[in-house]
Amino acid sequence: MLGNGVKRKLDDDEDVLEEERRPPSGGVVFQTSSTRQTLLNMSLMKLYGPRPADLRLQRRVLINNVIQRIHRDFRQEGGGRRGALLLLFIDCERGRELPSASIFLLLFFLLQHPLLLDHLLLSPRTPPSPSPSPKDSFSSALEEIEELCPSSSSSSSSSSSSSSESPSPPLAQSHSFLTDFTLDDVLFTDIDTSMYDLGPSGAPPSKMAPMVTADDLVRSMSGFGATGGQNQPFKMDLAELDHIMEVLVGS
Amino acid sequence: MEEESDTRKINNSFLREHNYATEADIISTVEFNSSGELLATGDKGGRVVVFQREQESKSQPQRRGEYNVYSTFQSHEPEFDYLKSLEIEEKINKIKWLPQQNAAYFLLSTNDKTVKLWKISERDKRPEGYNLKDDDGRIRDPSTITSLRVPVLQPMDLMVEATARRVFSNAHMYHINSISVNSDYQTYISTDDLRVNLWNLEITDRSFNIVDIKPANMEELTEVITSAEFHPQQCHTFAYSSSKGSIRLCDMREAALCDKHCKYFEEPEDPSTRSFFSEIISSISDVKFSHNGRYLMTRDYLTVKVWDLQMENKPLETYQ
Repeated sequence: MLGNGVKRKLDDDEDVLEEERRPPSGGVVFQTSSTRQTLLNMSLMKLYGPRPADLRLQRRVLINNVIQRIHRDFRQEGGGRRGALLLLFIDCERGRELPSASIFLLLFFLLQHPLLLDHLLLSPRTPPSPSPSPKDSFSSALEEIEELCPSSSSSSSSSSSSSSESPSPPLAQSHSFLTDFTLDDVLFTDIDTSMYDLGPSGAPPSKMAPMVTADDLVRSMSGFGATGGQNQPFKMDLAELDHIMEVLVGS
Repeated sequence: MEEESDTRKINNSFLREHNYATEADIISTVEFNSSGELLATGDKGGRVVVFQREQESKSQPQRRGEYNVYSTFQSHEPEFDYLKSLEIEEKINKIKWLPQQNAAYFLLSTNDKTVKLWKISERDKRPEGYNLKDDDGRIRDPSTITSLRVPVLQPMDLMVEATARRVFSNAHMYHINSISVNSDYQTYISTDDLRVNLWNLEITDRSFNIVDIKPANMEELTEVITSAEFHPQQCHTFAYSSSKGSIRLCDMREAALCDKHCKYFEEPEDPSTRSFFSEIISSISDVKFSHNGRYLMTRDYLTVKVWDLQMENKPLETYQ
């Protein structure tokens, strides 16, 4: 991540943007998985990477549409876990006041290594508490993963029916990776109350994650290991990261 | 001696090879006035430079078509929004000329948040011979005045001065992308990503919102407004374009809030050319009516399209 005072080079960003906006040569349709993955990475980096506040609303909406489209492609192809995870990540990022850079990096990594992702999601853990009655996309994403994980082969048909079903006992065997996020964290801040948000940067009138300054990122990175003086989101990050590392390492 | 010539060489090549234009000089908008005599440019530094066409002269007929600098002024300054901790750029997004009604020229210029009305006027005469003050402006001691005189207008070098006559601010939460003056010459619209506001040119503390596409849940936002323009003759009709490649024509007589469009222009996507980028490149950046008001011209990333207002399902012409 960028440190304090390091200017992002205009050339680099221009190149990336040009790459994204350049149409496929000769009208060839890009459907290869690697291109899609690259595009997804690029879009996520633009939206949630350093300095997303520089993006105008129009750009954010267009990039978000690209992400949504890739997400739909994931689901259609039956990569439901990745799709749901992506959706969940986006939802949680929106709900947070400050980004969890570690979670971001981790999910990035996971999205590119599907085997690892499967292993992670299938590991049985007892959840601390079942989530309350569902509303909004967080719960539907949770349910999707519920539906998909018990079956070894992902099936997109079940994901479509999951939203109509009420939360069932399979919730109990869910991945605490997901239930560690309480609904408090996933409150979608309304744009009009942005002035009441805490944090040094406040929330701009945008639909995406609140503005991140380089300061925040550096603080969040260096916050791990520091003891007092952290506010709630940082503590949650640390706990989540610990848990995820535990699952990955298998201890 | 040798050192001096070396220095001169270095200076000359330095000046030639290094472009002293800074980022603030990047031109962000260009607009001719209705007669074509004046060309206004706005740049990233918040300045407006107006060029005037050279007068036709028989001795040098080929010089017609050249423009010289007529006036330069600082239209917008950078501001800081303390509530959101965001800097408001001074970059001029759009300039629109008002129809000329007297000797002065009027234009609207806007940055992301504020629209300003500027008056550009010429001064080529100066009054001289005041009674109460000297020609340099110093006040004369009344006891020294023994006779009265009438001030006389003397010619002077042409001076072009620009003054801000109106400031229209605090009406947009998002970035203003376009402005358009109505054919009634009394109102104009300013457009940001989600809303279109109607102003009266005389009134700066009030504007009416006539289009609002902001969804109740911002997560559902997938389309933004990119540009809007009034019809050249019908003062109740305007069109706005979106980031999804569609144009909506609205009639203000229908309702106070024109969320419901009268006409909807969109060319269906060609499935054979569908790709990840098709939506991004279909985003319309500008929309303009033809002079007779029967056609629309739109520009997206790769094409320029001409639409007939009577035909909504496809454009008349597409230029790539």
